[in-house]
Amino acid sequence: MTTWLRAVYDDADAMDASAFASHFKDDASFTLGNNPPMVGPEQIKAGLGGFFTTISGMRHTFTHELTAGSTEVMEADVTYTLPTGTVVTVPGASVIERDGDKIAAMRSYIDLLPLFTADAS
Amino acid sequence: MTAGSPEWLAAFTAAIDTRDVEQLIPYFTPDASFTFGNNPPMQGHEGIRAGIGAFYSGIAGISHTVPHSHQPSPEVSVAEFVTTYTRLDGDAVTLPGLGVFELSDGLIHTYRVYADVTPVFAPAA
Repeated sequence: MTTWLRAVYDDADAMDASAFASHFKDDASFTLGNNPPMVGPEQIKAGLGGFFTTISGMRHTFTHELTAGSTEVMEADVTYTLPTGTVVTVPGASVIERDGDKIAAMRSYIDLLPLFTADAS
Repeated sequence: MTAGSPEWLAAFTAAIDTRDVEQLIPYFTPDASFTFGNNPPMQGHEGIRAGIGAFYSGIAGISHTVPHSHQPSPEVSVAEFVTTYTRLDGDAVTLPGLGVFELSDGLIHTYRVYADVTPVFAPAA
């Protein structure tokens, strides 16, 4: 993985929404799962910050890293720690369109349902 | 038609959209592995037949478009999907998904799909 991309995921796994959002261009979009896109660093910071309040930890373990031109496709097992201490790992994939040293678009595909059902039973 | 190309992806998604699993099977090697979301992998033609057959029986319709595709190498292709499902109650839901195809001699030997299809099967709101 490039140093540039490592920094993006380090900020994500540190649950630092502000630092993560700073990697995006002003008109960039970030789509997480089935939710509508967040557009621009401010929306991304707010949206991800909201998500981070629902979890206690997040860690990406990459399974496949693919590059096609300026597009990166990252597949990972993502391990979430819930506020109850329960740990849940689900697979996810992200497409990252890079423009220079910024993200022009990022689309993340993941089914987070197990985070909401893990402690239900 | 080269496996993994945009034309091939169009043909593959059209085969899925027939909801006839036998249209899909010829795209896979006999020992293929197909993982959908958080489920365990379906293994081989029989595993795919059973798993996708069950999936088809839970929906009334399916229609794919491929707004973005990427080919990191001749053996690997990535498709971003927008898929409209018709639920058994007749409601339509449109959801994003991503598929990674690992190819061998023009066939899929590993296929990983990332998507959250919860709204397809959730009780009606």
